Amino acid sequence: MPIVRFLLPDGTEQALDVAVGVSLMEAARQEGIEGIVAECGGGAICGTCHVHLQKDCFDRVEPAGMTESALLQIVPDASETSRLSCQIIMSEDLADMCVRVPAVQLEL
Amino acid sequence: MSAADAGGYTQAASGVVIIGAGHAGVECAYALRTAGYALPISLISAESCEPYQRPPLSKGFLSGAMDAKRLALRSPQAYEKQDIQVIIGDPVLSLDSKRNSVITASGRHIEYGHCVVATGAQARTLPKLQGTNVYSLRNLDDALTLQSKLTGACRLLVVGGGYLGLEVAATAVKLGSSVIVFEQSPVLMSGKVSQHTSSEFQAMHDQAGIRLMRDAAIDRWESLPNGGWRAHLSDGSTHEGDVVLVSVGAVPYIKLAVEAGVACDGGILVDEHFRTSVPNIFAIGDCASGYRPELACNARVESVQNALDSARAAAAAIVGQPPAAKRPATFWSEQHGRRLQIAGMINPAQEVRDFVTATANGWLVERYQQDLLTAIEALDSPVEFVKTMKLIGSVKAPLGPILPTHNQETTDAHS
Repeated sequence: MPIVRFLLPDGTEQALDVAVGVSLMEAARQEGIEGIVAECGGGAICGTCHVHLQKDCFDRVEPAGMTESALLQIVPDASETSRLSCQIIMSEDLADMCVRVPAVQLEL
Repeated sequence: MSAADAGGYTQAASGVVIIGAGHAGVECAYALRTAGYALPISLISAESCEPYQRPPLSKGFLSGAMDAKRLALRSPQAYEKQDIQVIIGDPVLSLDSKRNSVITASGRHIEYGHCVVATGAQARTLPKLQGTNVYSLRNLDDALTLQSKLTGACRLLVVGGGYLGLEVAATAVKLGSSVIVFEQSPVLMSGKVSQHTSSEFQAMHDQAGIRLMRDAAIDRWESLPNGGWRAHLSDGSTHEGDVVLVSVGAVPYIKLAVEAGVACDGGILVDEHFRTSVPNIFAIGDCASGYRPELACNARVESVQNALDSARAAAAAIVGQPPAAKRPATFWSEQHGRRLQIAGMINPAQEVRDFVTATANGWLVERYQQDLLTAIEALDSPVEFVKTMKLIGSVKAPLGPILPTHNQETTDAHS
């Protein structure tokens, strides 16, 4: 199973096996990674599963849709490689990617 | 209750037993560990699969777009890591509030310092409509059964035009089924959404080829020899289907609490910390009924947000921490790929004034009661939703055109 490394706000790192076809948010929720709230369950509507991708991975994934792009405008600590992790579906191509979890998520 | 006077309840020796492992139960177990709770935590599920989330059951999971492993709330290793004992397929048969213990079907006897009842709600059934090919949708087994029936040639009859019935109708028509929805009131999602949102969704369902029978009074159901059903309406019309989904609301599962002597009235009665009438028993999620100032009465609220927030509040009270700030109730629905978000609740006893604005991809409805923003609805407009939600309870009605609507009725939604 491909591995994804999550860099957590406290500076530690957690490596997860993420099955192909599962979203990064789902993998993070199932392992109980704090900092990814994901209140809407994966609909790209709550903006509480924001992560920063590495530039090369960011360029390889499908671009964000309209609602996700709009939410990324208002999430705290946004960067050029910000995405909602519920919209990043794991593929072999993304194996060993590194994802940074921001210190705070959008407050609902 | 302040953090200080919660001290009397903290860290009783036997740990916490959580009955029910839906969103609320699982979140409570995690919130306890996050708050530093060190005693044993048992999370008991009557169902035999790993704890899972229910909202996709009527949407992505039913359509086949999402498989069962993606429903799991946490992985088995994640519970192990937090030292949460998950017991599945073993329903609690009795809650003994005098001996502080629960007994499960397999004969497990678990003592607790605190018990958290998170038993949820069951589908309401219709006495005159029971038997072959009549289904409800509350759990994974229901969804798998319904999914196996919704093949291309299926004629589905949906009783109840609320969120659940309409989500299933939209999914079924996408799978190729022909669908008729019977709704007894004149509008869809009656009592849950504004007239604007209701009529816009009606147009979407019409366009998708779903037949909507509003103001439908069903006199009788006839069971057909081929296993199907025929609905006889009071207007003399009849409608046949192969499969019937009954989606007419839910009934809280309160039997264990009632037998334990916990006060119940249309739900397990709780205070603002989700404590029941028995001091070391809490109730959270769909089964709990607490005072809602916006409604001026006790109410159950069926939503993921309420499940999570009540779970965190109960965990905070158990460990003696102050609760997080209250947030408005939020709900969501997804029909025909359109996403509706709702925040706040409308008091059915008061007049509502709606202010509708178009957004880039949908619309925003601001709903005012007694001149204050009380609730909002946003279609495919999550940014407007987040921004406007923060104004609930503090912003006065604008002077622009406001559409009056009829009073609303009930308060619970299912997502």
